[in-house]
Amino acid sequence: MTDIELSERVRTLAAEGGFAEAWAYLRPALRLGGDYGLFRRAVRLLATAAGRGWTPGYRRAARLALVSTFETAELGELLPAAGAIHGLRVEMHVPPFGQVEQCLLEPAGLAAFAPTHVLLAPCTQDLGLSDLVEKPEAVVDAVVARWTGAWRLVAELGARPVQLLFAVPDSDVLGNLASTMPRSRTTVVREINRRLAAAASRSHVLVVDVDRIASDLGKRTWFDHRIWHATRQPAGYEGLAATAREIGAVLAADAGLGCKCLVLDLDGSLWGGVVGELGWDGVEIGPGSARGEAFRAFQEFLASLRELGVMLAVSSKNDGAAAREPFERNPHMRLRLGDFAAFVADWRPKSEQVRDIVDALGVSPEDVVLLDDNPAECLEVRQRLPDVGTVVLAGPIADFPRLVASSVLLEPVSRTEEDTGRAASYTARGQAERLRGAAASLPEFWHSLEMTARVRPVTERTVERAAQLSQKTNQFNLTLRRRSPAEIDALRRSADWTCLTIGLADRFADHGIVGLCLAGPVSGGELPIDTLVLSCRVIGRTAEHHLLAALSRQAADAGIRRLRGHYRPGPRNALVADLYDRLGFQRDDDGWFLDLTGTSPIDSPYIREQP
Amino acid sequence: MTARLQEILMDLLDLDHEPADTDGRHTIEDWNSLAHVRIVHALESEFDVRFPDWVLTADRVTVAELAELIEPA
Repeated sequence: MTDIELSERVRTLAAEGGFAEAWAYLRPALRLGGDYGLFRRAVRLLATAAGRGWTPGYRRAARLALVSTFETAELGELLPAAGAIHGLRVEMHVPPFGQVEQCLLEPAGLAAFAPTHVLLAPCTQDLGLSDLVEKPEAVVDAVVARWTGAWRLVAELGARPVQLLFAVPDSDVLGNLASTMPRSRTTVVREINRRLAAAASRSHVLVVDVDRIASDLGKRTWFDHRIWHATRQPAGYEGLAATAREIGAVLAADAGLGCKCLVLDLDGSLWGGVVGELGWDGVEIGPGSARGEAFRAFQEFLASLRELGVMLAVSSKNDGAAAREPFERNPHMRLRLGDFAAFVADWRPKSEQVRDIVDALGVSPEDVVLLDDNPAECLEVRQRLPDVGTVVLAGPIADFPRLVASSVLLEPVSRTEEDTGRAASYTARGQAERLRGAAASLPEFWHSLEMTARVRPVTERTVERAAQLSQKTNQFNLTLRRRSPAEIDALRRSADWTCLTIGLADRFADHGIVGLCLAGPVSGGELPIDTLVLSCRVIGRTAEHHLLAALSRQAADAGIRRLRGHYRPGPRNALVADLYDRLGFQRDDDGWFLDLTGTSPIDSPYIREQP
Repeated sequence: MTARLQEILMDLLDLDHEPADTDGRHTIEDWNSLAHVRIVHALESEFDVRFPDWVLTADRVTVAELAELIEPA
């Protein structure tokens, strides 16, 4: 179906009230790089549908203020559709453009909107750079100071800054020489981008690399100088759509909507041919053929995702031993058995295999995507596990990485030490689960894990990880409050708040920071627990006992008489509905409380605190 | 060509009737400056043409004039 045919189909369905079906057609196309026309169709579909009481299945929400130096009426309309692609409801506040400092220095309007994010949107045209820039260092310093100053003002509002970087101009009179000249406009814009990106990574600021977006699309398409001169929009409409899509992806990833686990088929997906027929040394992988090279490159791509913290698992209709052999014996394989957090190869339906993987890893079905070259298998999984994403690996093998990257939200918005270790941690979790099966009782299992913990105040170094836990944790999450790095950074500096993380290690792995507790503000001798989250990797290990024991001790030492706990039910956190009962809290009209004036009943004898 | 032009205008402007040749920004309320740029973009994409600069900022341009601009393509 062409984009025009798709657009017409969606229009017809929407006119008949078939909003869900229309969105089901439109959403994958938008994700895969749908053009501006499809984005406009999405904007209108969502507006019409909302008027009739239908909305897509949103999983998270963001309140986005758009503060810009250029006309953003169009971009502002596209962004809610860009968020909806990933299940993120984006509510917009778009003050007049060209009012950056006014908006931020007198933020009453912004504060009333209470944004979770502020998109700071400058453009290259507004820099007014000539082809040869006078005093380029001073220009770079001034531009960087302007926007980093804006970040501080945004953070004071309790919102997270999202910084658009600058598109390097599509032409330069200096031609190829421009790259070598410090005074060229090209060099100056690149230096501004470099400096802003470096500062952003230190300041918990999200960035959208507009120059990369423009390059991907083609700068002659992204830039449309007529549009700039006529409307003060820096990009043509295809450029605006591409930019909106990337902003939506960054916001969605920041809200914890990124894919956590890729489940991989084997035959035809990771190698060519059928291993059950060809054997471990007969499958097509590596040097010798273009297809083998392409499969190897796809495995390289998947290995890189694993390095970034995305878990890999295998779901294959195959004999188990035969399916494992290429990973163990074929020298051309990039992926090895140790790269997989779960490996299921048998003859059951794929939906059962994937369900086993979801259960074994303790992740949510929404966080999992199956990659399979067989459309029928994807359909079977979609029908039985509708929350699991599926991508049919169709077309040239060499294009698989691009297909997966554009079909699945893999956008990493930050990088923490825990991301690097996540895949290994889940592999260790599998080892621990096997140990659990061998243990006679849970206490015996807990003892055998030889667990140690590190409960520490949230620091500047760990605030990003703390926010990541707050944003991404769904199951072990008592209040479902989502806190940004800027919010947590402000709370940790407040004397009325206690902000703790817990890191956990066992005999198999150091899982890094896996839990967060934000408690405050103190009121009337009582300390409310605002946030209590634990990564699903370590649920069922008594880590929550250890963390709350530390909180209890600190609170009691500070003269606080009670801890106060609340539980807000959501779609997936029933697991902790009775947590406070289990921890020895008492119920009252306002939830649960723990009297700290007596002996604390909370502790875990199975976890030793590291000094 | 005219039929497709009419379809595009009806779609982008949410019209329930075909605009007349003499209709334009001056007669159709929703044909504001933002909608006008969208229309220009849609027509250029659909008919693979590039309008002269003045069209983007024209306060008064009719359906018939747009059809004439597209015609040579």
